[in-house]
Amino acid sequence: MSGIRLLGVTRSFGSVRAVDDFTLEIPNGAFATLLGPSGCGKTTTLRMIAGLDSPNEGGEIWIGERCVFSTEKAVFVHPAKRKLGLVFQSYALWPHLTVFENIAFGLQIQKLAKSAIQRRVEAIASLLHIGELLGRYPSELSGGQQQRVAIARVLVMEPEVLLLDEPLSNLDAKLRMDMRAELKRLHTETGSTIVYVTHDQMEALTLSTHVAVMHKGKLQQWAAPMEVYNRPANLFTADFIGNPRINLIEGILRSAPDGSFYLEKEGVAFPLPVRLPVSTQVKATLGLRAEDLEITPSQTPGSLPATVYSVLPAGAEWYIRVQVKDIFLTVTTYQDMGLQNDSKVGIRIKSDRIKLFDSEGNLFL
Amino acid sequence: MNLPFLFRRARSRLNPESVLSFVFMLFLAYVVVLPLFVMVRETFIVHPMERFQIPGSKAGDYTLAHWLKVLTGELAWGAFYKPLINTLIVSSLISFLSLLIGGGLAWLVVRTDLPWKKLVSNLAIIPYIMPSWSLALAWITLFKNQRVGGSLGLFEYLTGISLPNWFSYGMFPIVITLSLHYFPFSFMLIGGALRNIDSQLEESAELLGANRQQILRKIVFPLVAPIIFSSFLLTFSRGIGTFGTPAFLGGPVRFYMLSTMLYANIVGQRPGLGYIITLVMILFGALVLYMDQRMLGERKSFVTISGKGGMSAPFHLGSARTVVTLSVLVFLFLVTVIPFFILAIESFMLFPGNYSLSNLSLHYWIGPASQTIGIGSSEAGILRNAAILKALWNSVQLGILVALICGIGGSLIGYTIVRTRGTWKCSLLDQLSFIPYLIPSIGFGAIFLALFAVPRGPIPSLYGTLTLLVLAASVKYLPYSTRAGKGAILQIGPELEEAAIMSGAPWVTRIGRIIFPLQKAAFFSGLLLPFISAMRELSLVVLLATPGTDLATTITVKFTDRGWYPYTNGIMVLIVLTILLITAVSRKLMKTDLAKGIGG
Repeated sequence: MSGIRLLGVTRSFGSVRAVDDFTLEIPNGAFATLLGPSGCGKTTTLRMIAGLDSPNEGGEIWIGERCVFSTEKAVFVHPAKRKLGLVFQSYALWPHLTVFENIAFGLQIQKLAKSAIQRRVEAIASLLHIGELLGRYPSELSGGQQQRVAIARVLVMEPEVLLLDEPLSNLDAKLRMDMRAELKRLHTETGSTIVYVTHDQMEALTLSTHVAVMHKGKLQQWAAPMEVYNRPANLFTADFIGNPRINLIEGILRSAPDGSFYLEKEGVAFPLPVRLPVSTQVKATLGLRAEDLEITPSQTPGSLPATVYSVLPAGAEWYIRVQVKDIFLTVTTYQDMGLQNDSKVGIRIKSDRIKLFDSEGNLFL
Repeated sequence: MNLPFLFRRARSRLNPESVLSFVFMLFLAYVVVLPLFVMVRETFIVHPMERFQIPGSKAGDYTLAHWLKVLTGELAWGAFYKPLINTLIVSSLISFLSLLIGGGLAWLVVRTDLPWKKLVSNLAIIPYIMPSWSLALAWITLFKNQRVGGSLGLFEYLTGISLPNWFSYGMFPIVITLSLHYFPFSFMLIGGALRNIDSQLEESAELLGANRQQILRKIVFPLVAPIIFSSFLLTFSRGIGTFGTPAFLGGPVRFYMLSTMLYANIVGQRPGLGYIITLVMILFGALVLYMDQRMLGERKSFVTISGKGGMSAPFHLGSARTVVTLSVLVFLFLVTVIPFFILAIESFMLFPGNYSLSNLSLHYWIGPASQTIGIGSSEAGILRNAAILKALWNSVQLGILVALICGIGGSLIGYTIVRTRGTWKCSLLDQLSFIPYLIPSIGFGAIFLALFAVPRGPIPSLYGTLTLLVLAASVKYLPYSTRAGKGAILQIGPELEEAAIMSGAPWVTRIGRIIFPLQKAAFFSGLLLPFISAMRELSLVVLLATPGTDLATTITVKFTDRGWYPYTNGIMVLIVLTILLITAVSRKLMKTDLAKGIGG
């Protein structure tokens, strides 16, 4: 088993830097997720680890103790010799080969004995519960089964690192949930290092031990999932992670005569439930997660007068879109408050887990 | 980007496509780009036979005499401008007529409740796979008059009516027969476009209250307009380069087009003039295709293949259905089956022009060489005539070789283009492989004549060898094969190959075990079209064939020149039968679909 190190990796396509001076150290045995919107460079990064693509403006890639790519030292290790497995987004199962032949392909290339191939394919098939499907063709399988075959084809080669490129994006919502559980179990069972690419923050939060948030080819944050959620390093991460989206209010930081602080925007003053070690009268952005806000009856002291814009029930919770003067905010409630459009209510910041970003967009509280 | 050599070498091992693209670029530069330069030069030098026409010159001198002669000489009108105008008129007319016939048929088949659609589609392709001038020969056999001399046509024999010259020869029959040859092209292009229109587009219009006619006019027509324009231009460009029909139907009344003028100049030892005409043809061909690219480039995204939604409900022909069906079938019958029988009948008539039963004879098929029997040609019957059989065998050989070269070459070039997408290599290779498409057929033959008539560098003179014919035909058909190959590879996602790379499969294994098995059907379909094209080719090879390398097609020119139509027609029957047989067999055995390949 091995960790992965990327050092100053840059890959550009024409004038666009898809991956820009990217440095990341993934520890051995981690379930690391590259998370970001489409076009952020996460798949390119994965393909460079795999060796299907290479940095073209410098950088080094290490797998375990082996340097597999270096511009400076002129190293390039062929993908097949990097001891890693890649599961493609589309699964890339060969449609003209049976499940058995798909899984056995790499072993046949290595010219293993027939009996050994048979044994290893069957072992991996039973691990992934596809033992009965070995004689079928990919087109005769469901999406979830194809997914398992794709993983089996990679695992049978006993890779040190498993690379997964948006493996669940082609599955329906229910199956996706099941497969998440399976993947997490697979990680603990095999103990291998996994690099997982996704644009789905829920997947990243639920599966990984480490999350790398990427934007425009650059690393935004590299931390444990809950850390990314609770302490987003910057505005991009704060905005990208979390559902519903975080409320971001850009205004001026001021202090009240009683020594408390508030953020002012368009004549609305948001009281801050914290003490600030910084000077006031500066531009700042306040980040409030929907669950950090609550709805109160209107005219409640300490709450801001608001108008309900629309009510979005989501099963266990309700998302209430409210309007404070011209500022729109989303609030999560956990009970049906019988709100109607245009009801007059109040809103209040209920926890001290607020986030404040400086004018550069970086978290300072 | 300054990478150490070792590193670059390591990376190129991963990219056989880089190696391939280099090899193909070199090859195409040699057979496509170099010839263009050679030919331009040829228009400025004095050739051995021309030194008598240009006083005080010796062979190899540089001269402007050819250009002056063509553009301003006293014969310029008859030898250049008039043929040029004829060519443009004929090409425009055949493009227009083919569009009308092909587009109309396409609409009937795709969008109405016409019965027997499959039969109609299959019949409608047949004129295109027959040699282009077979209809011209049938026309001559049927409508020839006695004023130009020779025997009676079948029509005059049956009715006693002598047809005027304009009907029997010249522009009128050329336009008619070529239109009937080229309409399947429009049929397939427009049919494909109509089929690909997402029914939701029409349904939306319907829900907004548009009636059928408004939908047709405001939605369907604008959507297929680029394809209509495109098929017009592509037919036009083919019309410029076609040789057989103008030669056979125009020759007797001295109606010349650029292609026949080019042929006359080359054969008459005036290559300087011939190559100038070739350049003019290429110019027009390139212009037309440039317009087409502009048109399609901007509006390509109009017609999209969306698997969703079926086709909208067919247009009901109503009470006209029977009449329309009957007319369509009669029409197709007239342009496919009838011409074939006319040609066949002629080859069984001992004395041409006499169609009585007592005149029936197998002489032109199995008779001995004789100066007294029938037309007294002193040529043995087709089936025992060594020269004809050799020519047939040459044609089959050519067809097989060209099919293999185009099939493999086109697939590999297509593969290389797709796999190097987004790089300069890809666009350069793409454009290089497309150039032969721009050059009208007979002009392309002239170019190869200029290039390979003499030894050049390490390559000996290829004139008089079958290799030259194979090379010319392969390169000329390569754009179609490349296009088909590109399409086939595009359907295989790159991940399928990358997954094999990850498994450590070397390139040959990836091609052999992944790419080829997945696109076997497309590959074999890709073989059929070059085979048929080579079997029926005349314009391209007419300048390149020599007595030793005569093809079934070029040998007919010789028989026609002497007025020995029974032989010509008999050979045509053999060519058509071979093509139909091969098409049918490959359809049965390999499930090839010709309609897919021709739509280029």
